[in-house]
Amino acid sequence: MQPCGRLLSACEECAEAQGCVLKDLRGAEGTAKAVPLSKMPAGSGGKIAYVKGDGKIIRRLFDLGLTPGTAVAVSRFSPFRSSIEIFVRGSRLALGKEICSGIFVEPGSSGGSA
Amino acid sequence: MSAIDRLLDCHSTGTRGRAARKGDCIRVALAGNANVGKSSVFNRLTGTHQIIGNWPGKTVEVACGFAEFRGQKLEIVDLPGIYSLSAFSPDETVSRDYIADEGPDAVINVIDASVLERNLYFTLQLLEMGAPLVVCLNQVDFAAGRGIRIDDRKLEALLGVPVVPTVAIAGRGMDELVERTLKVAKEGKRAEAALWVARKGKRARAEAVRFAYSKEVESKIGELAGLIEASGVMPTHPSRWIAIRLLESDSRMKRTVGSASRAIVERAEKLAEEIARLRKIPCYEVIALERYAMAAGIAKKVRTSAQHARMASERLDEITTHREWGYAIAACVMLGLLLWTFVIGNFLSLQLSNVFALLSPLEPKVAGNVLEILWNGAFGGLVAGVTLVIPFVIPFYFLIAFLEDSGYLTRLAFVFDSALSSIGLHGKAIIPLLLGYGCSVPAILSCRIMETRRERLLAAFAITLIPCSARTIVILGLVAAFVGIEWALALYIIDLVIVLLLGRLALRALPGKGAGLMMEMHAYRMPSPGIVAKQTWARTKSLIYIVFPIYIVGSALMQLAYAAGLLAPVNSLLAPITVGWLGLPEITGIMLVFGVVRKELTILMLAALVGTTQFALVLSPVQMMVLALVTMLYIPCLATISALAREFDMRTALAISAAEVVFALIVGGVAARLLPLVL
Ligand SMILES: Nc1nc2c(ncn2[C@@H]2O[C@H](COP(=O)(O)OP(=O)(O)OP(=O)(O)O)[C@@H](O)[C@H]2O)c(=O)[nH]1
Ligand SMILES: [Mg+2]
Repeated sequence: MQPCGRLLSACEECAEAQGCVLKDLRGAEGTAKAVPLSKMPAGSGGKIAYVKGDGKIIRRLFDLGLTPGTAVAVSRFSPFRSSIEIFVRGSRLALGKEICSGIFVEPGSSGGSA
Repeated sequence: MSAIDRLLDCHSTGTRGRAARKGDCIRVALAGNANVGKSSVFNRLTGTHQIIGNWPGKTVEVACGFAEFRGQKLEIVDLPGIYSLSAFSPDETVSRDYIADEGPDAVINVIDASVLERNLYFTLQLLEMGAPLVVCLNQVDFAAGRGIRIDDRKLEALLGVPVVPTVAIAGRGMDELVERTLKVAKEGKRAEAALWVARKGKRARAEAVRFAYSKEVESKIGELAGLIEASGVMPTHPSRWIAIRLLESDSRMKRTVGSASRAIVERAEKLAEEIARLRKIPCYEVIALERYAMAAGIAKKVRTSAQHARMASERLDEITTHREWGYAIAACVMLGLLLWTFVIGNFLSLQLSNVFALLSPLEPKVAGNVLEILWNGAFGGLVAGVTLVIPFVIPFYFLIAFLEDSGYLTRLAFVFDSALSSIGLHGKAIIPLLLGYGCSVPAILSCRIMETRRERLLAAFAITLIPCSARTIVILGLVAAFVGIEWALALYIIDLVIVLLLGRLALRALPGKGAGLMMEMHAYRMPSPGIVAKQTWARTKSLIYIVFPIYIVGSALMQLAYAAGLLAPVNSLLAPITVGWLGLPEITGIMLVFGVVRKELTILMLAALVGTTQFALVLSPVQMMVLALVTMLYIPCLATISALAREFDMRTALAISAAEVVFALIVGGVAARLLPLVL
């Protein structure tokens, strides 16, 4: 198994294993297909399944509270869809499109409001 | 900026040398997430003017101030906002290093009552670290407005450290905060002294663990902490904390521990791998996940939130970030800012000129008694400063402070994210760029909120091209007043085009990819009149204290040099450029030289030399446009050059300056040839 530093392969694995993280966290039921946050329509929400991308950025996302299992809601897209405003853990974050395309969400009920 | 300038050096001890600190002054650091109100608390406690506004990343440097509470001297340290000890950008690194290495006597962890979970995540990190902690539960008024209530007694019981509910902007809870902080600091000192006597050099064993991770993780932490304890590395910090940081594979901690004992780091990597294998996600993710679960658990226990009605601020949010309206509103705000500044500034300027005209007719002295010439020059400098600078700067600063405190800046960052990506930046860069319209120096410092050096440099370069308030004075005092406000606007638009074009060129020179936007968007807030007024006054005051002497002395000296015939050689030396290429009067040569010190000196010196602010008497409209254009672009002022040298290096600063001189001359020369066709 790879050490913590090499997360890309780790996440790739997660993606392949189809929701292994979800199983870990919430038992067997949550295996629906995860979609990147950037592909979700404004106003929709769900739970984070897994996060892929550059190691430093992933860490930052975790530190900001975007950990697997967390409820998120897409509030709105910026003009030209270059970034996305999301609602997570009681506050709002603006995230670049590329970052969002690495955050995979299992669509479900909206991530709550206010 | 001025408050930062006045700072003393806060890094007095370098290491955790509590014993070495002299006197009875207790050192207290303010730490917490961005935009929670740390600087508001700081200003309350110390009576100083740190920048306050409603956007993350205002404080980017360590700032110190002093306070006294019932005879006890306190040194208060304001730190940049930080989300996690795994710092991400340079401003966060400053905070992390201070908290970890400087060992303050107490840490006040300011948290935002309305975003409890994320704030508590950092609180938990501070607790793990063994920091002598007091929690300042701030913005309880704002949280209450959104239907959120926090049971602070319960939170205190759960965290095991003092929790004080506060409203920093109103000063509520400050006395209790200081009182309890002092108690924590003194107890810490006593405990440490006792420890020192009892077992010299031995570390204090971590007390009972209040917040535990899952069993697998705890067992690894325990093993690692035992190794660390036995080896005696970093005896100043709790071994449990070092173990957790190693398992999170924090590169800084690995380096520090690794230099003392490779074996421990290797063991930590092994253990982290085991956890990762067990849980099928990287170890640091496991730790973040579990820590957030603890934070969420605490938040859930102490928070009650009622459903609240849709707030007006949410509707405002919608239009200001709207696909089309967002841009339209941004344009209106910028236009409004200029019009407001010009209309109010021009009015005040005329009134003040009339007053001064009554006092003393301004006749430039070019012959006679030296003292008389000096006096005359000094007075001219003062009048020019008072009539040209103050009137424009006050309404400008006022509106900027208003915008800063409203929360609009983060919306702009969101709306302009895609535009900025065309020059290799992301949305957050709009904040330093906008600050650049005020003053380039703090704007360049605030580039520290950008994550990479490349992005910081690209942003700083763009800032040097943005007309700061000094350049705005030139544009408004010269072009708007005597050519027409539409021409002043044209200059701002031309400038934006230039920023985009040169930004793209700079991107060619510094290719690469940034991290992308990651920014907390705080809700809109009605700016507090007190804070807006204080902010405006603090900036105006620093201008008066720092810059007015320059106007007065500069003007006096120039008058003298003029009388002594020293200006003529400089002017004629520059004449091929000023007269030949730019089509300006010869006298502008010396003005442009002075402008390097401060941009507005160009027209102040002109006013002092010709004895009037009626510039139409000495310059044609085309000449005014060319002069304003060149002044806007030709070189960053000295303070900006030195800021660039500090943030990057001297070579970079000089290269940018040289390139801009050449560029400004080209643009000015072209304008001098094209403008007569339309003006
Ligand atoms: N309603 C309310 N607003 C507050 C309170 N404290 C601070 N604010 C506002 O919160 C915003 C941020 O305050 P700052 O003191 O600048 O925050 P900071 O933590 O120093 O921010 P950074 O330096 O960017 O990390 C400002 O708009 C303040 O006016 C409070 O107790 N109640
Ligand atoms: Mg601050």
